[in-house]
Amino acid sequence: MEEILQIANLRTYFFRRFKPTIKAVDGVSYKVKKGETIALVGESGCGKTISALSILRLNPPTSTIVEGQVKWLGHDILKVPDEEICRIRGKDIAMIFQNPLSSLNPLMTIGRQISETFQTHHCLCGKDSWNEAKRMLNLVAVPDVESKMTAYPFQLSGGMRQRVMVAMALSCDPKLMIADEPTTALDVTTQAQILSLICTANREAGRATILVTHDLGIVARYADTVNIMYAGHIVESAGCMDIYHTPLHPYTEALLKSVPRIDKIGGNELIPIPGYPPLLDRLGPGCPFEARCTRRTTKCLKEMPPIEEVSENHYAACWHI
Amino acid sequence: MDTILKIDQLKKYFPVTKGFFKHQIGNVKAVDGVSFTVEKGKTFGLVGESGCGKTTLGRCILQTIPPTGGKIIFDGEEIFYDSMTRQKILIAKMQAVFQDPYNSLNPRHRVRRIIAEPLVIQGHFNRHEINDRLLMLYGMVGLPEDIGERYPHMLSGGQQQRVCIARAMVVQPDFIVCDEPVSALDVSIRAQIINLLISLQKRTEVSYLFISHDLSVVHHISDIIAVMYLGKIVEISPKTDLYEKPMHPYTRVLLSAIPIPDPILEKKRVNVMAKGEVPSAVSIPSGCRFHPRCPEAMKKCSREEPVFREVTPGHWAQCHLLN
Repeated sequence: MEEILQIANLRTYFFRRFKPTIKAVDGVSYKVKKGETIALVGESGCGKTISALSILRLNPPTSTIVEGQVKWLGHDILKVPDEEICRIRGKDIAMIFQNPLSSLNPLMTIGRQISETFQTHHCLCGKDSWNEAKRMLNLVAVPDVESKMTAYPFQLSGGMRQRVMVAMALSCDPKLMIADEPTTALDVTTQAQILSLICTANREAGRATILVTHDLGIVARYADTVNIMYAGHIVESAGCMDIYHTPLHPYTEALLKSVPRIDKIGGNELIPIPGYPPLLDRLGPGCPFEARCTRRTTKCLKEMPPIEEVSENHYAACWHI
Repeated sequence: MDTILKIDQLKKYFPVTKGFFKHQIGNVKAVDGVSFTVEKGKTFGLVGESGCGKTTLGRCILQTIPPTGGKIIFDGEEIFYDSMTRQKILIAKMQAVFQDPYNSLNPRHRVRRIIAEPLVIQGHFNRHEINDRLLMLYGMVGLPEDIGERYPHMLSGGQQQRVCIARAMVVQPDFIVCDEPVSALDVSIRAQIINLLISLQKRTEVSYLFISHDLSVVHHISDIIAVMYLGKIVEISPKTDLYEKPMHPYTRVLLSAIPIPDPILEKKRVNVMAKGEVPSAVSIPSGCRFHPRCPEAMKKCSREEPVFREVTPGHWAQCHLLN
């Protein structure tokens, strides 16, 4: 299949005065094929959100993209001028953020916010864009569209706001959608509604999705390819089946054993990962998972294992495979 | 089996006021007639979406807010919010662990003072006894011994939650209300805290009321699970029955909304989804509260409220479909 996005060796660091640098994203590489759903999975602070934001150069101003390539349809979008990246944002690559209330403008009505996308990217006039916005809200199954168009974000419930965000992201029919923990702030029943809305819309349009999440259940339900991140690195990357049934990296294995499963009557035994995730400004030269790993040797402490193809389309970064 | 806590028709309404004179225009029925019992040394899980009243219920039991109606019988004695002398001794046997560990610790106190404070308030202990108790507790909850001198902000989220658990355990309580204790934690830390709670229960026979929105966590830790919707319990079931034989449509919706971390099982599953969103607790729908969202709603559901009854031994549910 055709690859639309190639990320190679992306590094985003937070340089700080008088303090060690935080290496939030430290050499991340992956590819997104057309129509594919890729999941970026990891615990909080592992760099998954920063790596997703860096694709569109939306990383926080305190951070710097030190190195790497993000090739969108052959062009490196880390190097293009600002006007051009503005044209790509929203039109070719759309994004949905974690907290819908803080990503919507509180002073603008829902209708105006959605029609703005049409005015910027399609040069539609006010009335046409308003009608288009109405069509988008219908598409994401918002009830009572007329009154919602003139409502302000604070008047809507969490689930409705996230639907508005989805409508905005879908409005320019992008080729890639980056969903950064789209349902963390929502209830479980609403989460199921929103995720199936996003995923069916994208599947029907043949649109690729990058799903950033920490929930292994959501990944199992929606993803085709899974990238497991730990302390700024991708430690394992494989198809969904392989990750869950033949995990190679000790972190993936441990992570799967530490989630409670509802299908096991009487409950499965939880085997927690000992210790705590490392601080990103105090990483040594070795494997970041070394301190919590059951397979650790002295080699792990000294050298970071490279990510290598172990079997077909199954990559892992560990010295002991 | 001994009963540690019995709740009978507990109600908590919050008034809704309007205008300058604050005249009452309605009630938020946060908890609307809830009854259940918690056995000694067992875990009672309470699951529901945000706004269903599960936290309010926990706070009523802890007597931090006065209930509007109903009875709370703890260890054989009824608790009244108003008379506090005898109650203080009773309530000391009830402790709580909250969702956000950082915000439930005093940022200006060192860990040792935070954990020792309940003992100091009780006042029966001298410094050496307190010290011994603290050292034993650090070992029990898996904290390093030098942690006492640190401040909460110097600890990680998991360690902070361990401090909260230690503070609850220090008075050797009979009952702990755990209000979403693992929701703010990462996946790998979550398992540590769940296992810690289970092992503490095995050692001390403490009972838990485990409140969470995450059915998979509740299912893992609880012996009996209650599903709450808009202030009412719609189903109470032993842990083994719930996944296999869910009776209330809302339970089925909740179960199917929780993805299983196994792609093969996920492909096979049939997803039942609820329509719309949780209505406001000010204007509760007529009849069965779940009928506007229910995938299996009938005509009868909007008119009559179904009876909460025991369908099979130990398994209670409230739905017209079961008649």
